[in-house]
Amino acid sequence: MPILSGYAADFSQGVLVTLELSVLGWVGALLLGTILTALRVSPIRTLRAVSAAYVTVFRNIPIPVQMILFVFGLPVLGIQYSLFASAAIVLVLYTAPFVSETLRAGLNTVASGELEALRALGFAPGPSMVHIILPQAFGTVVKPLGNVLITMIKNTSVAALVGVADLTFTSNKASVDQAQPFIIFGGAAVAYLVIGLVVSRLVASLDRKAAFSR
Amino acid sequence: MKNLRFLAPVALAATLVLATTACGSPEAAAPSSPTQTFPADSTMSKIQQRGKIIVGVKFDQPMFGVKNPVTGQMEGLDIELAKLLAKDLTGSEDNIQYIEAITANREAFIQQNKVDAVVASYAVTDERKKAVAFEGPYLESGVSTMVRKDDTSITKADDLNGKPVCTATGARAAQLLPTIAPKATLTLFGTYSECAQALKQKRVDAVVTNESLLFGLMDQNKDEFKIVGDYLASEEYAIGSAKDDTAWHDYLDTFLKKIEDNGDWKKAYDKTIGAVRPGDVAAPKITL
Repeated sequence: MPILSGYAADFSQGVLVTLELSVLGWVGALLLGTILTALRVSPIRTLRAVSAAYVTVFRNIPIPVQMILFVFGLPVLGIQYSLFASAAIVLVLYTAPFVSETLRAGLNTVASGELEALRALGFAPGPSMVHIILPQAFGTVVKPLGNVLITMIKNTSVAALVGVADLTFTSNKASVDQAQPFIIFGGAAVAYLVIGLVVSRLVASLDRKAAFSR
Repeated sequence: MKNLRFLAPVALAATLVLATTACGSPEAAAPSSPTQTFPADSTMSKIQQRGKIIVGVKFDQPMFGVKNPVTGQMEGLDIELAKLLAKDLTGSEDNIQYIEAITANREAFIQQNKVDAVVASYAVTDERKKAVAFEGPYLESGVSTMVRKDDTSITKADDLNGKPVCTATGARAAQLLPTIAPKATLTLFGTYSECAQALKQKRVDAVVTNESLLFGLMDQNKDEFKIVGDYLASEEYAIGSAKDDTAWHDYLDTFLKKIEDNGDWKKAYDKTIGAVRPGDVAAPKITL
């Protein structure tokens, strides 16, 4: 495959950027998503409303639209990040609501009496949430969260829209330069598939561990 | 029922869409009145029997092929040429079906016979010559550099080194730049209007692409930008068609020669690129 080998360096760079976006996006989305969930079940009404509003807005705007708005809209207000940072931030903003909703479903499986029992035992709501309730909630939703993660990995391809040289972007560029779209996008499809398979395996093994502790 | 009230406009819209498509469906192409006859199995004759030509064009490339968002009409040099082609084959310039051919799928469209020809600001390159046949060129132009009007730091190709430079994915400029200004950092967006936006916001310091497109951008953003320096490279735009269809290739070349000689090419050029680009441009020699 002389075509692919000529682009091997670009291609592996593209895979690397996709992986970087995936890791940054997932860490950020887990953090923000957990915070959103905690706010959503907080006893303070304003916090619940803020969380619900955030989820509604960011879950319902398509990620390409958010990406373009972030990259070309925010600079009008004087806020400008690098293209890579913009793509990573948008991934977090967009994915967090899905993490939050999934986690909330997990939270509902934890008996509500537990939180009341903890309160009766004198635990503050914050720490009891972080140390006792949330870990249980996470344990029950490992697989659904895995789905959110895999969807997010595929969503990293939207970064190509704003010129971040990820796997989709480098494939697009190579296919245009070489006038060989099938072979090159075929290669990209295989690369995404491999990443997805590895992640599914990791999620499955993590779920077995979580199931054991349940 | 109260909760369903919001559905009313949706239902109305759906009805309207159905109604318009229903009215639209019996729409037949204007009767084909061919002026020339061709062998029965040739592409030309197939187009005449079908009554319309299927052309792959850009929908988002000002000056070449763009769908006017206000009127919904297709505009640009490529469109004018496609119309002339339809008229030459079928007798009416309305007998065209436009298919959006983005940069990345032009070869595929030709190879899979989804289109009869691609007229989509298609620059001739050696790699592309391996995949498709070219007719023309119908435009000789060059890759130029556009900067912000108040920027005096870039006057020639060499000045691009160390600067962020924008062009669109798939543009030949993206392939050229590493050899012309190796230290320039390339930012690639999907469209040139995004490049123009990035240039305004100082995310990049220059936009590099075919000058016709740059003149189009300057026309859209009055007094914001200027073009500096000489051509970074010359570029030839041609019609693309299936590689093994020599009769179709020869017909298209003859057609281009004809419109260049009878003044139709000049009219098409003046109406589109000529309207924003200063100076006269001669019709190129048909060499492909």
